[in-house]
Amino acid sequence: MTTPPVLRVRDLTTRFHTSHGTVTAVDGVSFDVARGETLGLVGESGSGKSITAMSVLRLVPKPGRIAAGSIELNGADLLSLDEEEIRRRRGTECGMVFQNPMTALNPSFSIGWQMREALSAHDGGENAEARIHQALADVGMPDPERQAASFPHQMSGGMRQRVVIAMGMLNEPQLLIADEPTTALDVTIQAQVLNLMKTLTRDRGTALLLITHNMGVVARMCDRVAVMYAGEIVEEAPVDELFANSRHPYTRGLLRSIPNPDRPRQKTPTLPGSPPDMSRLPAGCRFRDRCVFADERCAKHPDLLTVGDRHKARCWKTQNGETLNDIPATEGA
Amino acid sequence: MATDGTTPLLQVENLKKQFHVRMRGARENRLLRAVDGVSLHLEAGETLGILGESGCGKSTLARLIVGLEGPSDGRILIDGEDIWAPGAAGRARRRKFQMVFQNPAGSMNPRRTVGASVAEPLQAKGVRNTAEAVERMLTLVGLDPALATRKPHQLSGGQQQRASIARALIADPAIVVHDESIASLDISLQAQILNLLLDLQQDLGTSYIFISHDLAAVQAISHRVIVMYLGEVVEASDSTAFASRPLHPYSIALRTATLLPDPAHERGRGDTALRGDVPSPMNPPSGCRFHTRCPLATDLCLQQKPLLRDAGGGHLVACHYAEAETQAAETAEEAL
Repeated sequence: MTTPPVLRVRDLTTRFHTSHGTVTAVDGVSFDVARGETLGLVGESGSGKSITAMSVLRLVPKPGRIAAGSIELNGADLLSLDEEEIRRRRGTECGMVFQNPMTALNPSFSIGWQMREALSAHDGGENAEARIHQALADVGMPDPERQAASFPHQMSGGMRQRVVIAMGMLNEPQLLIADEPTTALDVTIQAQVLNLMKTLTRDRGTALLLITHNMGVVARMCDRVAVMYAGEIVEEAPVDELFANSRHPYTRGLLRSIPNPDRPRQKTPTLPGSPPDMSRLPAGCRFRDRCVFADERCAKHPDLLTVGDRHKARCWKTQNGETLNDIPATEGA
Repeated sequence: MATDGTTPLLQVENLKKQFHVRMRGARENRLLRAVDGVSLHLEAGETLGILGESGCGKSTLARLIVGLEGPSDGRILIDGEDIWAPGAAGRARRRKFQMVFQNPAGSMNPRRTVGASVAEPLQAKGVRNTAEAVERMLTLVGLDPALATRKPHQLSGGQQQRASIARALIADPAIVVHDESIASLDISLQAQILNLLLDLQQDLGTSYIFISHDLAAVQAISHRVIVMYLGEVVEASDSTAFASRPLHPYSIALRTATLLPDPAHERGRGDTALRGDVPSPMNPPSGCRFHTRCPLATDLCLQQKPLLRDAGGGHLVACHYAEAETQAAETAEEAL
């Protein structure tokens, strides 16, 4: 790629120091997101995907701390900026959409007031009114003037999430970070909100970092995917390649464990077990205990290495050119 | 099907539940019809899936069926007998139900051990020595019996939900109602729990009512499926028939909106999402309650409420135009 990525993350490591010891929630994570590209950051709870997103925004909750790595937004190193400067960039260069719109919105102020604040926090805001109404219209809100005057509790969940997206996109940021933006919504509303995000980011060339656990959302939205497990990226590939030819047993297992709505009362293949306790990670490959392919090589921790065109995996087997095709069907109880 | 004259295990007849709600600043109470005339039946050893989005009344229906709340109108019969019959008879019938909730941590006493919580339904039946049964149930749901001495917070989410299932099954209930029981679990654990429920049903013969917003999960476990919208049943079908041909425009929209792990398919997706939001159940639309969002709606739908009718083979649908849809599909198929 000739143009530099909008977001460039290298060896990001975020630790939580607790009374029970140190947990490395994000462990050496690297990725890029290019202009107009949607990167899916996929994983189950505890995989570190949300802490990765928080780290990029420098919003890691205490007692968490970014311990190592670099984060560059448009070439500027975010980790060296002071608090004032990072606050200015949040919202202008990087918008955010979180899972629960109710926590992102202040219940005691009107939508318009909150959007005006988001605008004026970043620039003076001449014709702010018109920009706010336009932003609300852009996310498909009927009657924006009236909506701007209403309060969060007067809106449905879908409408609130539209407002949060409108706020996230208000200053036309180059990067939008969305953490499970539709998980709390009903499926019919989810479809609307995803369509909206897709259109907005495509029209404006926004780089989108989309954090989700839902492989359907990934298939709908993403150009490339990074799969996280126990704090690490275990596989990274273009979306079609990942779904058709996953080269990590975790990704493979995850994709197979999604029930097919068109085949009722069929058992779904499962991944046995559950993710490891992050404060007591096993030595070697972190997926080893759940992996049907595990052998003696897996006692040593594998690196994330290239296994194909734009395709990386953290697995000894696929790195050696072995296939995962003859997967034994595991009907884990 | 109960058409041959035998009594089904569970029969729900025209069930209604209304809440009086006072809006802020309003002078009078408004009536919220959470469940509005639902009828259904369930056979022994069968799973009935109830599919719907938030506000459709599915959780209220769950609470009514297990007897956590009394209905405003209508009847719930188990083995043909009313669960709200006065006195001990009604109480005994209500004990034939158990429920598994969405949040397993919240449904277990945090100060008691997992074993003590699992034993509760047996103790309620007057059984004194429960240790052996607890051990057997924990093993059956795939947990190490040693976990019985732990507190709920020492278990993972998946283990907690397995323990909830053990508790629901320990006193040998006729029917277990699952209200979004896998919704808060990670995907890899959801499939584990769905498979566990299928296995347990085969071994124990328990009937399930599985309530969820997730069409794929409902289909994975159900023999029959009911779709609810704004307190009413809009479609009821065998799950195989439902998979191959949902009839109600709302069911079709749910199916279409369900994202599949298939990038090529998802990229080709047009903007077919249902427009608008679910209207307030406080003030449901006239005629067909779905008409405000329905692509097929006409004047007839605004004026006349469609009744649940048999569209063939026991596939019930409440839509004036569903049949036309079917015929259109059939004609299209023949043309191919």
